[in-house]
Order: sequence, then C-alpha cells, then structure tokens
Amino acid sequence: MIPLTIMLFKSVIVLVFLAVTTMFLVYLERKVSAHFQVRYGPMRVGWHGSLQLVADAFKLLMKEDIIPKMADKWVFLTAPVLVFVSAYLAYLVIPFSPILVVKDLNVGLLYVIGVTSLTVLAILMAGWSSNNKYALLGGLRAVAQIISYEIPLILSIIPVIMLAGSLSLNRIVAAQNNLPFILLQPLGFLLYLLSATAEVNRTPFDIPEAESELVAGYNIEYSGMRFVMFFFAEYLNMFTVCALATTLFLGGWQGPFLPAPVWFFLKTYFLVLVLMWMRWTLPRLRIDQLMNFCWKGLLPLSLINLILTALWMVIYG
Amino acid sequence: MGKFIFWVWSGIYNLYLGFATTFKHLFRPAITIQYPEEKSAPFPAFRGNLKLRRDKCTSCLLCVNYCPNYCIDIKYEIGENKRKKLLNYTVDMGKCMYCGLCVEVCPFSANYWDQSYERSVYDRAQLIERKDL
Repeated sequence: MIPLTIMLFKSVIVLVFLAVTTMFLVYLERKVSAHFQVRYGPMRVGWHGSLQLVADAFKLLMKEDIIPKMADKWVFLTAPVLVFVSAYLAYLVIPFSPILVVKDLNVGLLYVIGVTSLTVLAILMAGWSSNNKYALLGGLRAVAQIISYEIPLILSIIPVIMLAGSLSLNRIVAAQNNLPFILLQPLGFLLYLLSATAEVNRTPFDIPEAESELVAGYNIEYSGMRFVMFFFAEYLNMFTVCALATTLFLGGWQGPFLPAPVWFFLKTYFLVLVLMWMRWTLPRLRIDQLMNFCWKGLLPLSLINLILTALWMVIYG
Repeated sequence: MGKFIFWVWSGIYNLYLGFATTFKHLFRPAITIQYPEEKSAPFPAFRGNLKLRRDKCTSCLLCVNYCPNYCIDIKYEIGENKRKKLLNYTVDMGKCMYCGLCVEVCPFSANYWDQSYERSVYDRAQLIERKDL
C-alpha cells in the first residue's frame, strides 16, 4: 500500500510539473523564435508576456468544439486524448533524479519507445477521421515519416544499451558515472537528435503539418480544447525526446555541485534550445528528400555506428 | 568519391553558415518598437495632416482650384482696401488623396503637412476639419 501511495504522489508531482513545462515551452518557443527574428515576441500580458499562455489557454477553452459533419465521430473525438496520453505515458520511467522517477521499469527504454510510437496511431486517427484531404495527407505523411525515422532512432539507441548493459533508464544514467555516452557515441547522439526531431515533427522535418502545402496537416479540423491537446502533446513530445537524449547521452541527472533534478533540467533545456535553433534556421525538406535522408543517410550511418560499437566492445570490452 | 566528399563538406559548411547567422541574430537587440509606448518619427517628407498658417493665407483660391477631389472649401469676405479676409478654411480629409498639390501650389507656403499619423475618428463627419492655426 505504501509503495503505491508513493508512486501516486510521484506521478501527481510529475503530471503537475509537465503541465507547467508545456506551458513554459510554448512561451519559450515564442520568445526564442522572436529573438531569432530580431523582434520581441509576446510583451503585453504580464511581465514580458509571461501570462500570454494563460490568456491563450482561456481563449482556446472558451472556443467552440467543432466536429465536422461527415467526420468519423468517435475516432475524431478519441484521437486528441490518445495523442495526449501517449505523450504523458513516457514520463513513467524518465528519471528526473535517482529518487524522482515514478517507476524505474527494467525494460524502461523499450517502454518509452513503445509508448511514444502510439503518437503515430493518434495522428493517423486524427487525419483519417477528419474527412478532409489535407488532414488525410498529413496523417499519411506522418505515418510514413515517423515509422521510417523510428528505425535509425532505435538503431542509434542500441549502442547505448550495449554500453550500459541495461534497459533501465536509471541504470543507464548510473553507467555514465565517469563519462557521458556522448563522448563514446558522438555519431550516435547526432543520429538520435536528427531522427528524434523527425519523430516529433519539428521543423526541418515537419511535412505532416506543413503550413504552406497542407494548411495545418492532421489537426486542421480540430478547434478549441482538442487542438490544444495536439499542441501540448507536440511540445511534450519535444521535451520527451530531449529528456531521453539527456538520459541516454548526456549523463542524465549526474553532475557536480548542483542537485540532480537541476542538472537534468539544465541539460534537457539546452537540447530544447538546440531544437528551437534548428527550427528557426533550417527550411522544411521535401517528402522525397526526407525519405532519402532517412533511408540512404541515417540508416546506413546508424548501422555503421552499431557495428563499430559492437567491434569495439568485442576487442576492448 | 572526391565529388561526394566535397558535397558532404559543402553541406556541413553551409549548415554552419546558417546556424552561425541565426545565432548572431539571437543576440541582436530587437528592431521592432513597442508602439503605444515608444513611437518612431516619420520620415521628413511624410504627409500626415494638412495644416494651414492662417496669417499667411491670402484666400487666393489656388489650392481650391488645384485640388483634384474638390475637398478644400474657403469662405472669405472683401474687407477694407479691397483685400480678401479669410473666414473659414475647411478640408474634407475623407475626400483628400494626399497628393500635396495644394501645398506645392501655394505661393505663400500657407499650407503644409505635419507629421501626425494617429488620425482615425469614429465618424466620417469628424474628417471634415476646420483648419485654424
């Protein structure tokens, strides 16, 4: 009974924290993008626009929840919930500190990859059920892209598992006590970061929701609170891949002087800022370039990385 | 092979250029201004509101005759020594197309543009302005 209570308590902390984080991430994105474009960003609501997100949330909550007439109603209604839940589920195993992890599963990494893949299903549901050609195209593109990029993503993670000898995220962090894995796996880190950006549909790879061709992609027919769910899930997914990259490559919560969660957030937010920097620098790829990049670029490189790591471990390990 | 290496290298170099440019922009001060609090001065030739120096006007009616949209209306009376005396100079700014012919044609520089730009009103009747200065 007591372990269950502790777990519930921890999950409440994590849920509240995530709600605040997503709000902050949206604010951060708006501010950072503004400064990349030499302007101010939100400045009116609160100090330097810090309450802008609260105002936006109220506005979106009060908007009408529109369901298209010919939409597949139940699929349409459940897709945002599914995308939201799949974004939250990953935080069951991500260690913010040695203690602040809801449940340190011994198959943690497998679990994370599994639940984050649910997003694809939700996006396809949204695209299919909207009964809109742009939404359908966006959904299909999302499936093609995310499933393709899952392969180099997982192949770039496998060397880390080999080095750490465990799938539990806390043990992977503990294995980086002396040396973070980014120094042993620089190529792996780069591959992970690129394919993770494609996984969460961020800008160099955001063809499922390309504004200039698909209007808004799979979330075109959603309004009000359901749109917010997609939006929040997107930012939460971005935080998830950055948190996972921190855990796998940057030594997670380990670091001198400062407490463990602080180190975790410093590293994760650094990666978040790198992703934002990428978004506001690079233009969007075409779909054929995107697929070529995955199958002809990332996949061979990640296989080479895997084989080299295996050889290194056989010879020196 | 050499071509491929060059291709990869030029890709990396161009990526570096792009990232360096945006990184430099991140630390530049914003060039936008916070409008109601700070205002930028318009350019010298900006045509804001049409103004009149009443003491210089001789009611010669050149501006009235040159105005393509007939928006200037002058009332005057013949005073002592048969000199015209300006009573009322109204401009319908709703009709005005800001061509500036009245300013150019005035022989005594009685007409001039000022630099104001916050000039929206609630009613079209408010655009008919009596020019007094």
